[in-house]
Amino acid sequence: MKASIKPQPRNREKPARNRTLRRPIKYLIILSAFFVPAVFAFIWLRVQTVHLSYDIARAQKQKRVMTEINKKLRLQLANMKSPERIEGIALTQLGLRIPEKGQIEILK
Amino acid sequence: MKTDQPYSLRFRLYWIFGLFGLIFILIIGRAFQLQVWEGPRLAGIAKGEMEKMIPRSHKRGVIYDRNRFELAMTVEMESIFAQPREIKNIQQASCQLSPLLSLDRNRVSTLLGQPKPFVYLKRRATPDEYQAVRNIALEGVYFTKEAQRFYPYRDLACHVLGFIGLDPNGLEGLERQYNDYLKSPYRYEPSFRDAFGKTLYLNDLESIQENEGHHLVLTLDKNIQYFTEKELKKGVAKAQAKGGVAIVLNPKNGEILALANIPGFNLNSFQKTPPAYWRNQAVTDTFEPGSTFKAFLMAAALEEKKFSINDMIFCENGKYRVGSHIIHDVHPHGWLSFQDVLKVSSNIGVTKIGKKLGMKSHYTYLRNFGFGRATAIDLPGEVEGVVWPYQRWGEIEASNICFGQGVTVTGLQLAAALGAIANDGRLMKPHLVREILDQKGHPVKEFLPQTIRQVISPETARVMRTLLARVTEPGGTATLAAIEGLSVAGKTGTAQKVSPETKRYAPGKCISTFMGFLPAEAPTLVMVVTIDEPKGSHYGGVVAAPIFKAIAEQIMPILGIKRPAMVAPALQPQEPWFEKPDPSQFIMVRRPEGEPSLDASIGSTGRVMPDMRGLTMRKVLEMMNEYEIPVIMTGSGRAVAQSPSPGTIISQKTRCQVQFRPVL
Repeated sequence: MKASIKPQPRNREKPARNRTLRRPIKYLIILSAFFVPAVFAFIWLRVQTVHLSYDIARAQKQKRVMTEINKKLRLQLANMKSPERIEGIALTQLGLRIPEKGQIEILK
Repeated sequence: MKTDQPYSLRFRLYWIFGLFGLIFILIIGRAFQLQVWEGPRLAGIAKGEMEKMIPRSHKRGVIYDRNRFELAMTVEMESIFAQPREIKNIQQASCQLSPLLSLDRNRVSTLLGQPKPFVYLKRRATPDEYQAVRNIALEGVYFTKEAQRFYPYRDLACHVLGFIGLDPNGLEGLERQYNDYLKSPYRYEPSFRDAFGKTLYLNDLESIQENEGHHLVLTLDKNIQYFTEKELKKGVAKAQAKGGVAIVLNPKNGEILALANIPGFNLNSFQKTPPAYWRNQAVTDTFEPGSTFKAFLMAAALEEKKFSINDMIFCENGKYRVGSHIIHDVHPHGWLSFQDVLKVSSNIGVTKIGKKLGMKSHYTYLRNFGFGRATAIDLPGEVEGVVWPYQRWGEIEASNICFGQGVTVTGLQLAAALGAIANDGRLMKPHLVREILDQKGHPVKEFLPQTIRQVISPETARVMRTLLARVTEPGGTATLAAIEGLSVAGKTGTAQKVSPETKRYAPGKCISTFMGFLPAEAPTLVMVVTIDEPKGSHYGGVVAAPIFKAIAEQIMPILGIKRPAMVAPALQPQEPWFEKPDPSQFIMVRRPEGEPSLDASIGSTGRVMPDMRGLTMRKVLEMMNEYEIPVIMTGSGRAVAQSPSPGTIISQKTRCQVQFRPVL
C-alpha cells in the first residue's frame, strides 16, 4: 500500500493570538497617524509664534526708528518751508519782489 | 519551541507596550502637573523672568496751523549719561568728553567724580555730539532717548504757542492751555525678553501704537502770522517803540488768523529771554483804548436811535467844560455832523453824544460789546479789563469813557468788539483752536464758531461800517491806513499810559492804536494794531495805521481779497513767439464763417469769447475777470487751446476752459 501523501494545504490564517496582537498595533498606528502630525503641527506653530514674535519686535523697533526719522525729516522740511527763509531766497537770490496791485489773480 | 516563540514575542511586546504606555502616562501626568495643576504658578514665574514693565516714552502731540503745517512737534533726542563708578580715569574721560559736548572740562570732571550711580552729561544732545561721543566708545558712558519739543519756525507765534518745561508739561500759551490733550498718558508696557535678552513681542498687536498725545489744529495761518509779525516788527522799530501787538481776526467766525507780540523770543531757547517777554500782551495787558472807543459809543447811539448820521453837533470850537474839567479837541471844530464827529474824532462831539445816550445805556452796550469781561479765548492769563458800573460814573468819568479814558481793555477785546460791527452786529467768541485730532488724525473735538450775542442790529452795523470807512478817507484821521482800490474802515486811538508808580498819566508815554477791517462793505478780516510807547509822533493814525496797511496788503491775497488794478495793464505779450493780439479783439472779433451775426445775437449781457492763445495765465484771468466769467485753467505756461473757441458768444453762465503749455 502506497501511502499517498497529499500535500497539506498551507494554513494561511495566522494564529488567533497574532491577530489579537496586531489589532492594537493597527489602532496605535492609526492613532499615531493623527496624533503625531498634530503634535508636530502644534510644535511648528509654537516655533513659528516665537519666530514671529521676534520678527514683530524687530519690525516694531524698525518702525520706531523710521517714525523718528520721518519726524526729523518733517521737522527739517518745516524749517525749509519757513516763510522767512522762502521770502529771503525770493527777494535776494531769485530777484523777486512783493506783487503790486493788479498783479495778483485769485484762483479758486 | 514553536509554541513558545510567539508567546515570548508577545510577552516582550506586552512589556514594551507596557513600558511605553507607562512612559506616556508619566509624560501626560507631568504635562498635566505643569500645565494644569501648577500651571498658573509656573506661568507667573516664567512671566516674571521674561517680562519687564518698561515706561513708554510719552510724546506730545503736534500743533498745526490751519493748513496743517507743523508749528510744534516732538522728536526723540539722545541724552548722554555716565555711571561714574565704571569710569577708571576721570581726568582722561573729562578731557575726551568736554570738547565733544562743548562743556567745561572741570564741570565734566566734577560730574564724573560724584559718588552717584548715574549722572547726566548732556541731555538732548545734538546728533553730532551724540555721534562723536559714540565713536570714542568710552567705558561707563551710555545713551538714552528723550523727547524734545521743537518749534520749526522759532519765534513765529511764540506767544500763542507757548512752550513746555522738562517734565514735559506746558508752561505758557496753548501748550499750557491744552496740556491735557497734548501730553500722552504716562504708562508702562510689558516687554518680553528671551534667555539671551533678545526682545520678543508677545503683546496684543493693538498696543503697538505710538504713545503720542492729541494734535491741535489752530486757526492761525503761518503765512499771515509771518507777515503780521514782520510788519509789526518793522513798525515798532520805525516808531522806536517799546513793543507792539497785532491781532488779525475773521469776523464771521471769530477765528484768529494771526496774533503777534513784539518783542518775541525763540521758542527753542526760551530760557535765554527774560520772562517779561513771554507774556502775551494781547490778552494779559490792558490799556486805555482812547478814541477807538468812540466807535462803540456811536454804534450804541445809532442803535438806540438817539442820533441819525446827519444830525449836527456843536463841537464848541475845541473847548468844552464838563464839571470842573475842560475837554479839548486836537483840532477845534464848530458844527459837525454825527458822521463827521467820528471821522475827525472829536472828543467834544462824542461827549455830547454820550450825554444824550445816557450812562446806563452806554454801559450796557459796552458790556454787550464784551468790554469788562474776558472773551474766554483759549489762552491762559486773560484779563477782563475795567469798565466800572455806571453807578460809579460821575459826570467827568462818563464823558471820559466816551473817548476811551477811565476804562481799560485788551487788544483782543477791541478786535472782537470791532468784529461785531463787521459781522452785522453779532459778537463772536474769538478762538485759536479749530479741532483736536487723535493719533491717527481723526477729529476728537471740533470748535465751531460761537455767537456770544447780537449787540447791534445788522442795519446799525452796516451804517457803522460806512461811517468807519470815512475815517480812512481824505480828511479822516487814518488816511495812512487806506489801500488804493479797496475801501478800508477803521478807527484810530491814542491814549496816555498810566504810570504804575504815580498812578497818574505818565507824560510822553502813549499807546497808539488802529483798529480796522476790510473790505468795508463786506469785511473778511478785522485787525487791531497797538504800538506801545512810540517815540516822536504818537498818533494812532500816524504810527499804527501804516502798519495795518502794510500787513493788510500782504495778507489780502492769502485771504482771497482781490485789490483791483486801478489801471488795466496793457495786454502786451512778453514773448515774441506768438502774434501780438489786437486789444480790439476782446470786444470785437472776426466772426467765424457760418455763425450768426454778432450784432443780432449779442444781447445786453452777451459777449464774444476772445482769442486767448499765446497769453499768460495772468492775462487770461484779468480778461475773464473783466468779463466776470469763471474760467477753468489746466497746465502752465502760455494758452494753447480754449473752449469756447474765439468769437463764440458767451454769457456769465458759460464754462470757459483754457489749456496752457510751457514755452519751450
